[in-house]
Amino acid sequence: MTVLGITSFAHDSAAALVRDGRVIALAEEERFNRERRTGRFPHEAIRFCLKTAGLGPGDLHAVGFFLRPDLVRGRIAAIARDFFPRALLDLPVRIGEQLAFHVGLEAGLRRARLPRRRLVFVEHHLCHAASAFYPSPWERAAILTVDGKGEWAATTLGIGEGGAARILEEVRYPHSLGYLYAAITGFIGFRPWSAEGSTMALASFGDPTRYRAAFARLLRRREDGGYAVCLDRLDFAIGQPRHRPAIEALLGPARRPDEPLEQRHHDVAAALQEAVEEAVLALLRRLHALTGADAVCLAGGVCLNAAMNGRIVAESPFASHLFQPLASDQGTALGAALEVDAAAARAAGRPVPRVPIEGLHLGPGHDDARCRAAADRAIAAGAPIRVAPVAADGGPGGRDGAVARAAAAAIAAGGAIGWVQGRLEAGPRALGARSIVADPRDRAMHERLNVSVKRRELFRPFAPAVLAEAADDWFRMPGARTGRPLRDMIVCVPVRAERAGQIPAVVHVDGSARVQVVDEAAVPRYRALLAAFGELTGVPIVINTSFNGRGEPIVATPEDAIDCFLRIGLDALFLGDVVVTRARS
Amino acid sequence: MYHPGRTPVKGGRGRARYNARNVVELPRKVVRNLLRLNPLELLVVVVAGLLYLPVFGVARLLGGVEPRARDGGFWPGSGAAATDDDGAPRR
Repeated sequence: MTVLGITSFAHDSAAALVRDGRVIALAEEERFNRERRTGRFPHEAIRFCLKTAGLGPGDLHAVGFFLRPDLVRGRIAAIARDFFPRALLDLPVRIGEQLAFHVGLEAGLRRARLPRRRLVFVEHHLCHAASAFYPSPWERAAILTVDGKGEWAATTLGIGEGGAARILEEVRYPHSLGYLYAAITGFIGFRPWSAEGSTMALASFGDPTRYRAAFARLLRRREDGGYAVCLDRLDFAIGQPRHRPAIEALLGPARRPDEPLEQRHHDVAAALQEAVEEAVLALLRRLHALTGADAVCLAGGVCLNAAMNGRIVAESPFASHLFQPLASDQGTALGAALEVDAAAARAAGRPVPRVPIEGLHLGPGHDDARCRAAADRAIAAGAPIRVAPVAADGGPGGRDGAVARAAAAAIAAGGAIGWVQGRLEAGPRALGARSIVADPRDRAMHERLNVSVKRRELFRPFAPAVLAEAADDWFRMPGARTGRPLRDMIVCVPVRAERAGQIPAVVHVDGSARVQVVDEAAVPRYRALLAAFGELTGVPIVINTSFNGRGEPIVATPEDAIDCFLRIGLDALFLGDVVVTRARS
Repeated sequence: MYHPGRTPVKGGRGRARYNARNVVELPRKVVRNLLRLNPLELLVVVVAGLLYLPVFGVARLLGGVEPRARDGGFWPGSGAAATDDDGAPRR
């Protein structure tokens, strides 16, 4: 059975193609239309998925959609009732959104020539749950999903067993940990739904004790493991997540984006981070008691919080954990497709096909010839670049080995390089296909990358990529506490104290790092790069950060890469088997 | 001099007369203010007015609005699978 999954009209837009439980292709629309976190209908992503499988729209057995509009209408009505009369003013906006949603969906389906009668609406959190459970290695596992909101649920507790994911309990919007994180992100002066990573990074510099009591009032923890948000101080039900003026009695005045960051803001972020971590751990304790399962699968945008995930791995009552790396809504396209595929198998009495996802390199790829052609075209168009093929050096690994060794030498010499190889990775993290790579031994590299390459705040950390066989030497890896190797930069682990001084550019202030383990599932040249850098320096680790400019999606095509290379402060671009550098004027 | 709606009246017959006049005045004021709206604003008000009760009522009939959003806490998950009870994909 071949199923297309779609996410659209949300803060992500993506398409995934699944055939008998196996993920054939997955891509986010933002990589094609170059609008970061676009919500537009994923025409290009759908076209890519169908082309990869060699199918037309008529060949699809079903199309899964990541949301159930009927449940959304129920939530809108309930909010209008429970927050009357303020919600009455908001109602025309919500009704307008619903009309636009239906018109947009019909138009999108028509233009993509997808059969309307094969469209299946799947509950949002069930999509999250399915995306985490079906590719997991376990026959039976608990499932926790935590995000801003789906149709109504903001958190769900569920179970996967007998080839089906089921939701047992839920906490409903407006009681949402995702909204809480976004609202406090806005309070600190960052952009909600965008800069939560900045809040998480800021938290590591703060003291949670100062505002612990305040957050105990903002996020009431219940004895049964649940939670409720203080709606007198936080304004969630109407429009975007905001704080009310009453919050300033607890946390002091809100920060405007142009004001300097003070220690108070660090402390607020730290207390927020602690409160959310404690709430999720309490949910996991309830889920463990509810299901008795040994393992748990986690998904939903809140589960992108790598620091929280590190604590979960260390402290939760479950023996093993699997974090869906596509935790935000791009993963619900995959989840919708997997759930429809599984439901059809159950209905037909067939065993539900479950195939683990080895890597996230599921997007479009560009071979060396295509990369060379793109570089040549850029020169012909007058781009100020020089292009040189990597010379064969007669070493092991052939062409891949030569490219890796040349890149390793460039990094070891203090360069920050763009790295475009193989199929594009899905999700918010660059995983060695569209990355910026640099030397983690150089403390100054951290500042240089933040200032002149990424153009972002100095406190933002960078993540290390490490060869799988060397990971235990450098980091305290969780072993069987995670259900698959940490390939996806979604969990923070402690750096071994005796090693931390050797890689200062990637060690967080609390001694942890958001590690990427590079094993056989990675792009071969990326793995070869780490091996070559290890041979050259004795450190099989590089800094890996996403290849994009500020506020842009990660680059997708060789053309995107050359364009971005010319705008940010990189020393070289390893594009397939050619090296692109700036031409001297 | 007595100006209904402007001069505070402390009580007695004057107060009752003031209230009575206000009751009559209110719908007139609402209509007058509605007529001052531009067409777009008027459309929003009319759409909101027309749809508020039906949306609320229909959703309630469908059983979609039982939980009180202010309460928080756990609710049974709807957990609807992608198929109907007979196993057919849900449309």
